[in-house]
This record gives sequence, structure tokens and C-alpha cells, in this order.
Amino acid sequence: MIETVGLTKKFGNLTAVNNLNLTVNNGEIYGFLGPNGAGKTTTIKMICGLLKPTAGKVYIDGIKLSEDPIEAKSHIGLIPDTPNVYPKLTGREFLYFVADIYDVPRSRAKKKADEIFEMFDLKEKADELIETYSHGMKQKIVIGSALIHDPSVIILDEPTVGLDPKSAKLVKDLLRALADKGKTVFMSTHILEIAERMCDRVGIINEGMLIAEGTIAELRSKAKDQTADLEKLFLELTGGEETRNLIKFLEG
Amino acid sequence: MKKFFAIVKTEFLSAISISKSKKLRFVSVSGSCITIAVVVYFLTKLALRLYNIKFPFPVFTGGIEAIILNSVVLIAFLFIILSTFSMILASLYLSSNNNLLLSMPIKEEIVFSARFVFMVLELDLFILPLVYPFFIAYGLKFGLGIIYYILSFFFVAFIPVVPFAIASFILIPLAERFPARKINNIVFVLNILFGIFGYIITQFLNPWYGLSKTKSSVFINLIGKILKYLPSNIGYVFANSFTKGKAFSGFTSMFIFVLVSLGFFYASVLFAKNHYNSGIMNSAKSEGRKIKYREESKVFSILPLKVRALVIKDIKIVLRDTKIKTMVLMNFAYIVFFLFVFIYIPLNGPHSSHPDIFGNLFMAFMLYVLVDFMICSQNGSILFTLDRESIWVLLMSKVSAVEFFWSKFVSPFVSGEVIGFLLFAANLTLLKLINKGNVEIVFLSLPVLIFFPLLLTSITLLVSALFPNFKTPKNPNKLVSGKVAIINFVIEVIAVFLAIWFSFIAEILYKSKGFSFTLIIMFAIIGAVSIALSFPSIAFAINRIKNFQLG
Repeated sequence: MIETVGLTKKFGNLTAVNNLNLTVNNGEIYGFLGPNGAGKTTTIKMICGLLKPTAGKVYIDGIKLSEDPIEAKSHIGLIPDTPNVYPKLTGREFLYFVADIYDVPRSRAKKKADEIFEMFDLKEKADELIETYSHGMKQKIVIGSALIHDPSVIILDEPTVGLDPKSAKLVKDLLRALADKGKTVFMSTHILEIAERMCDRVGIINEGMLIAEGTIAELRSKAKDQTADLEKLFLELTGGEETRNLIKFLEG
Repeated sequence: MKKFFAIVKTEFLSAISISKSKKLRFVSVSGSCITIAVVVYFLTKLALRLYNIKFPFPVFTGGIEAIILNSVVLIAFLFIILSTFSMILASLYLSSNNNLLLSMPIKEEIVFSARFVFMVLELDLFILPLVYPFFIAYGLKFGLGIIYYILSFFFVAFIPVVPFAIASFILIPLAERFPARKINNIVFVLNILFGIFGYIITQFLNPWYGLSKTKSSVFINLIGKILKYLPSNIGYVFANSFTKGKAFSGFTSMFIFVLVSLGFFYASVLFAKNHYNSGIMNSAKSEGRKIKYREESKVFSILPLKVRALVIKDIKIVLRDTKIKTMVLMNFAYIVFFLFVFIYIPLNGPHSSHPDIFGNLFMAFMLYVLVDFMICSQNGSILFTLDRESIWVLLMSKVSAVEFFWSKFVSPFVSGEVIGFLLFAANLTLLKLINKGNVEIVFLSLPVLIFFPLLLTSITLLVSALFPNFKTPKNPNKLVSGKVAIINFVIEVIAVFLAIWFSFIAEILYKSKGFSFTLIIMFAIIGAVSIALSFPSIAFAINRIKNFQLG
């Protein structure tokens, strides 16, 4: 479970995230949406303990992140937007390394790693240096590393970027299965179709503030348009300035 | 030409990562200039001392200057050939930069010549400070004019060109047949062998090893005769022509040398242009080699699990990254030079490098400090940069700041202690063998050897923790490796000053209270100073790591 209370981050005069109150329950997939620069990645960094909030609190499975960061982090598996992992390690070495730093016994790590290589069709590449992997393969290895210690909270920043359609489908199915097992899944995405199809609830952030939250049905009723898809709702809520400008530009 | 200079400039900026800030750039450049000036000064003094050795037997015509100049140029040639292998492999075959450049609308000759010119300039950065002092000292000994110093500077600057071209003639066809990574591993082993060879050669040339007059005479003269027929003799021929008052002949030999060098360079560019593509295809085919996973050695089992995992990860990265591996190797290579100088520090009487106790103590202390600096500070700061963009993996994990710190501490500290003890044992053994030395001076340097790895590693890691090379909220767009280099230089200067003060204290005590008392007091003082500076540095660094944030 993830809970943020009054979460705020300021960079000088810029308020990147403003008084964010969120609760994501166990067994739930929560989609975190917003335009570029809305504060999604900053929020994720604060939830994961990579960035200290200016104000507010983060709780992971009831553990206050600022008080016991190591314990709180051990409950999280993060999949960042860019798969920056050690290029001079092999996929297998990287997974074992992550297992070691999360105190996963080697025998269990080996079993888990083999399952991950099998699941992501990486068996042939497991003993090659990560620097020879494609972007999608790196993304898969990062997803694998986030799951190797069996976290109860999985946080994903644009999880399907760089994945081929088959792998993207696999990730979506995997996230659903994890949520069904009672894990908390929190993901930011630009692909509204994914959010619409996968997420139990979505939150829309704009200019650092949570401007809407709920199931798709709840958002439709708020917008008083029962037929609107998430894209329409999103553009309505976030202003859709760029789209309007684009249409204006195309119309000359 | 515009494209040529644009490539050279980009290579230069990306290699030295000079800060955009004018102030920082000034400090960085002046810091490097001071370092080079100090190296040139000390090497010139050393070269003059070597040129003035009074042999107790007749030396072949040409004298010791011929042997020394020739040996220095020969060692430089070998060093350049081996470095060129690593450089060409790293920038042409093991990185995608070259393919990016070749895909642009630029003539292949321009791409290769610009990249090769930059590599030669990079080699000059090492060769000029290490080789030019021997030419300066030669000029000083024979009272040569300003023309000699100017021409010899350019002569030395052109030294890398021919061996560079020869190395490319060897390497480029090899890359067509064998995978670049495999060649790279062989070059790494060759580099180590070269270090050992260099050390052995310098020790043979060291005339104080109790060789009999006849044996020494035969040996030295034999070396002189062999060297005379090697291409490296060009250095001596060039310098010698000025001593005979034939500046014109010196100028002519310089002119021919430059012409030959340019010819070789042009040939290497054409050679690369014609053979590079098949080499890179071969390299691409061999991509994706399997690395069989092996359980880690039991040596590491004394470390806690997470620290062990971090240390092993760092070691693997260092051993597999050509650039980092070369940097670490360079740091160790300096120790060969220190060893050579160190060997005759504790000797008694006329063979000693300095006639007084203070001089001997200072040289002994300073060399240990420099050895520790190269191993602990230089390698320590490299270790901290290995995580770069992957740092999120650690910051997200169960690794605590304390575990993170000690994982970076272990390798430089242990290497510093181990190399220090090997130096100590080597010196004691050699002194025992030649039976001419002051063993007490070697023992008095023991506290430096024991405590300085702790001090230098702690302070280096504090600096690295203060200025991490990943993006932080306060420093979101730039890396600060330039700043770390400057601070490391300041640490080096402070460490040398500490060595001077310790030498003063040791000299006073040694003269008035004797060896045993001095040894105990030196242990107490150096230990106390090191611990007093190290422990707060460690605590501060750990606290800083605890507050690491990603930008």
C-alpha cells in the first residue's frame, strides 16, 4: 500500500509537486497520468526515496519512508523510465547482484532469475553483457530486477516504452497477475489506452496538483460525459492546449 | 578543415570534461599546469643526477647520456605502441562514436585523421612531461642554447607519431581477424608485462647493485651497443648534434624526423580508411560473447553480503571497461617509476640520492605518500564514478549508506596496504642483498605506509561523496569530475606537505634520541594525525551518502 500525505516538492521558486494526497491500496493498479513536466517522475522519485520532499510524508505498507527508508525501500520494486543499468555486467550477474543487495538467498535468486529469463525470452542473452542488449531487452532486465526480491509495491514509470507489442502485452498481463496476488501497482504512463484498459483507478496530475482521481466511470460522471474516453477526459482536464494549438497550426 | 577541427575539438572537450564555468576551468587548467611543472622539475633533477653518474669503469663512446636518452625514447616507444592499441580499440572498435561520425557527410580520411591527431595529442600529454625533462637535462649538462630547447620540445612532441602509426598497422589487420574484445584482453596482459619489463630494465640500469666492475662494464657497454642500432637512437643523435656545435645538422635530423612521422601518420590514416570496415564487421559478428557465471572467490567471503556484492560488481566493471582499466593501469604504472627512485634512497654514502638524513627521510616518506596517492586517491575516485546513471539501483535498494561507503573503501585501501607492504619487503630484501643501505630509514617510513592508505582513501571518498558524478537536485545538469580532480590535486599537495613535516620531526628525533624511540613516536604521530583526519571524513562521507538524492 502507498500513501502520500501533503507531499510537496519545490525546486527554488518552482513547485513541482503541490500537496499531493494519494492512497493506493493492495491489489490495485493505479494509473498516474499527466502531461510532460506535470510532476509525475518527481512524485515517483519521492515515493521511492530517491528525492527528499520539501514537505509531506510517504508511507509504504504503513512504514514511514523518512523514518525507516531502508525497510520501506525493501518493499518497493522500481521500474524507471530509462533502463540505466550497469552495462559491463551480464544480465545474470545483474540479477544476482540485485538479489544480493536485497538479501535474497542465492538459491532463490537463481530460480527467480531463470524464471525471469524464461518469461522474457532472454535465456540466450542471459550471459552476455547488458551493453549488447537492445533498449527493450534492458527494459525487460530492469523489470526482472524489480521483481526478484518479490516486493509488495511495484512502481513503474512509463513501463511499456521500448517494448515490442508481445512484451508489452506480457508486462500488462504480469502487472494484472501481480495485482490479483494482492500487490500494489503504481504506474505513470502517457499511453492512455493502457491506463484505460489496465488501471483500477487513475489520478491525473497537472502543474504539480492532483486535479482528478477515481475509476474511469467516476471520471466520466464528473465530466458529465458518459461516452468520453480517457483521452478526451484527460485533454479536457489538463487544458488540451497543445492539441488546440496543433489543430490551429494545421488549419493555417 | 573546419570539420577536422570540429571533430578534434569535440574529442578534446568530451575527454577532459572541462567545466563550462570560467572560474572552474581556470582552476582546472592551472592545477594541471602546476602538476606538469612539478613533474618536469623533479624529472629534470633526476635526469641531471643520472647524467652525472661517475662510473668506476670506462663507458663506451657516447657515454651514459646516450644510454639514458636512448632508453627513455625506447620505453616511450613501447609505451606508446601499447597505449595506442588500447586507444584505437576503445575509440574505433569498442564504441559507437566512430560509426556515428562515419555516417555523417564527412570524408573518411578527415574522420580518421582528426581522431588520430587527437589520440597523438593525448599521448603527448603523457610523453612530454615524462620525456622532455631528459632533453632539458641534456641541454643543461652541455650548456646548449635556446634553439635546442625549442626544437627538442617539438622533437619530443613528434615522438608518438611513428610508434602510433606502427601500432595501427599491427592492430587494424588484427581486428579484421580477431574480436576486438579478445585483442583488448591480450593488450591488457601485455601492458602488465611491459610494466614488469620496465621495472626489471630500470633495475639493471641501476648501477648500485654490487655488480663487479668487469661485469658492469661489459653489461653497460653491451646495452649501449644494442641501443645504438635501435630506432630510439634518433633522440640521442638529435641532441648530440647540438653538442658538437652542428645546430644545422640537428635541425636537419629534426626536419627528416618530422617528415618521416607525417608520412607514417598519413599512411596510418589511409590504412585505417581501407581496413576499418571489415574490422568493425568482424567485431560486430563477435558481439554478444558469453561470460560464464562463476561463484565469487572465497577471499571475499570475509566481507558482509551486500558489501561483497558491491565490491565484486565494481571489480567486474573495472576489469571489463577498457578506459577505466587503462586509467587504473596508468596509476599502477607510476609505481614502477617510484620503485626505481625509491631503491637508492636509503643507500649510504656517495650512492645515496641525498647526502643527509632529512633528504633521505623526505624522499622515502614522499614516495610512499605518492604511491598511496596513486593507488588510494586516484583509483578510489574512479571507483566512485562507476555507478553513474545506474546509481538509482543502489539508492532504491536495501544498501545502507554505511555499506555503500565501505564497499568503495575496501578496494583502494586494501590495494594501498598490500602494494605498500610489497614495496617495503622489496626494499628490505634488496638492501639486505647489496648490504649497503640504511635499513632504519626504510623502517621509519613504515608508519606512512600503514596509515596513509586509511587517510587518503577516507578523504578521497569524502570528496567523491561531496561531489557525486550523477545528477542531483542542486546540480541537475552537470557532472563535476573536474572539481574532484582539482580537490584531489590539493589533497596530494597537502599529503606531500605532511611528508615534509614528518621528515623534519623524524630527523630531529633520529639525531637526538635514536632509531627505536623515533620509530615509536613516528607511529604515534602519523597514526594520530591519520586517524584524527580519517574518522571524521568517514563519518561525514557516510552522512553525505545518506542524503544522496537524484535530480
